[in-house]
Amino acid sequence: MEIESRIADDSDAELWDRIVESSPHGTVFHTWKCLKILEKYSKTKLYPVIVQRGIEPVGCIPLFYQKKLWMKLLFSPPPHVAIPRLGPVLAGYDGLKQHKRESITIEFQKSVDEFIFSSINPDYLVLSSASLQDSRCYKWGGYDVEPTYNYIFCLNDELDKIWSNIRKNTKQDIKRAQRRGISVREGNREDMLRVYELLVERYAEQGRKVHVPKDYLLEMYDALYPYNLRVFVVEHEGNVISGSIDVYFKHSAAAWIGNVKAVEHANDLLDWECIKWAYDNGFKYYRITGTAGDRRLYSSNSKFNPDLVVTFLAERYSSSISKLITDIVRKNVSVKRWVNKI
Amino acid sequence: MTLEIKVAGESDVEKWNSAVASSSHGTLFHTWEWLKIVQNHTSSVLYPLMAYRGENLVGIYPVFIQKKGFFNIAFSPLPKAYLLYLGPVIMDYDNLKQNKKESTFMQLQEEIDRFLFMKLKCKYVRIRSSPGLFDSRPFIWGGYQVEPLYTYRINLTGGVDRVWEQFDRKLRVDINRAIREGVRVEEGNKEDLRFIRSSLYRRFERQGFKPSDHSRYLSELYDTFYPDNLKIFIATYKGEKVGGMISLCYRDIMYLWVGVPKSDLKGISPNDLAQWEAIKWACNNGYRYYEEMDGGDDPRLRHFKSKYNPELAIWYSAVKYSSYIYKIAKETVK
Repeated sequence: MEIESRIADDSDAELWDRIVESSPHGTVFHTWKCLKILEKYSKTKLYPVIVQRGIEPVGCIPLFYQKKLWMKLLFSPPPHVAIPRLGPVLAGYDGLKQHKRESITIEFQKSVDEFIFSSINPDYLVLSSASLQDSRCYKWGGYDVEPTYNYIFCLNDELDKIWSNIRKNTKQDIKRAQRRGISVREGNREDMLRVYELLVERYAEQGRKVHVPKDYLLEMYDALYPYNLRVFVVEHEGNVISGSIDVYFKHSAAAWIGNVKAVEHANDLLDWECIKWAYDNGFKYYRITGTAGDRRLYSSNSKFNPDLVVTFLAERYSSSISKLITDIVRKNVSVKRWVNKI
Repeated sequence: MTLEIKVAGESDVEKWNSAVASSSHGTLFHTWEWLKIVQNHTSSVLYPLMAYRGENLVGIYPVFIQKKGFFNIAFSPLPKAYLLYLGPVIMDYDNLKQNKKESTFMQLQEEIDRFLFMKLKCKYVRIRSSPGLFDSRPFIWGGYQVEPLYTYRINLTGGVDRVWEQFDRKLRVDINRAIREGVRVEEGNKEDLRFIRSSLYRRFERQGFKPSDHSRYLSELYDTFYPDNLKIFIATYKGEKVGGMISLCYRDIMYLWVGVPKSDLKGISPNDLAQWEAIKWACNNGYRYYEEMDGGDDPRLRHFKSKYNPELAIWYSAVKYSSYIYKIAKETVK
């Protein structure tokens, strides 16, 4: 039977979420309710493409469309929502043999490409995959592919073992932070706003701007708290000095936004407490997205001795002229930099 | 502490080979003996580079330098030498913690780049790293263009029966049919090496390639590495050789290195049976993986090779030009 792509609508929400749930590539941001929020705040139009063979779901991919000047741009994930990876989700992927995985991935991508280029025909298209490792069908389909990296902690080991794997200096730093009276506690909606304000202040000191709107975080909080989102704050002498917004989906916990520059080693303690919380609550993985690809930030996480996992970024231009124009439109804001850093 | 780069000499052979063997991304191609054979059959100059931190060897990096007009260009591995992987081997990599893995590789790549671009004045460097060296960030951050490549590894740790069960059903039918039809697979010798080479050449010529004659190179590799690190499997049908392969054995991996092109026999696939016999041999001799080298990156070959239900392993191609102008010049000349 033919494989077919179509745009999902609200009546498909349940099917969509079932695909996301069944796939190792699904993240909390792939869920229907999150996509709607991402659409609203990224000022893009959402094309949730669902791929089926008859009634059997094959996969899905959320695409976000934006027109800049006369350029048609298509993204997954969309810009300015602090989500570095999204991309394709293949249903039931883990249970398949390699041969089947490959033929499904190739068919899926071919069908999505046909849909994209017959209905939207973008000048520029960029996908950053959440955890699919196999980029070959993109390469064979004419995309430029580049590896990207995430750090992940496997929480199957005993907590003592995870602790003992951390670099010696870092363990001392964490203890030192505790001795200095720095502490971490779970926070609420107001605490999240405080973390956001700190982020804005720190960025301003560096002459940078936070592109993520406050209302966006509040809406995410209201949609996801408490099962899929938690806030942790670091306190010192009665003040909140840093914090982290973490998200949870299936077996995985992930650091999302936070780690504001604070007094020394406060964030090391914060990272450790967040990992511990995920461990204590039965999560199998703790993922840190974004920093592994950032030359300035990577070492702040690698000292905890996580595993490195590779995924990819795929780009495609409709022509070399559109490549040139896209470069100009994007000016100094490199999409690659942005997906790697948030 | 900074790293110091030295060019290895004959007195370093033991150290060199133990570095290669210390990490899972070390391959037979990285061994001193293999590199020296390549060196004997090419006009390129081999730089077997060793990186030291104080007294400690932290990695090796074999590079071949070619002179093109006024320029030097660097390859690791050298093209057209049946070498798929080369690039760095970092000492004891698998046992290092993540931050140590990163800092060592990054320092090593920086020093090697300095050596190649500043000291040897290379205009172009092409590296193809081996599977197991998962991290390509030192290349990306060093200004290389990086492309992920894929190969297939069959996990043998579950035992022969488990490996067989995991095969695609159609593949099992094909293998059984080959056995029923009377195809036999045996270990081969130097005579069979010639058969494999000439059938490869015939296939290439039919496709319009003009392969250079590598028979002395292959023969020297055979004399050096057979039988411990190099094995030949030959399939015969009604007294005639119809298929086969050369495999390499190194550490805990057996590699399908060179295969005989598909035979003209209708309805029988002697190569699938040869491969199955090689896999069984590897399994029974304590190897943990069987790699179908370079199988993952060709859309045509992928189809044949993924039937074995392998795992996907990533390796990288990384290229860097000394300047943008040289890059444009080179791409125009292409």
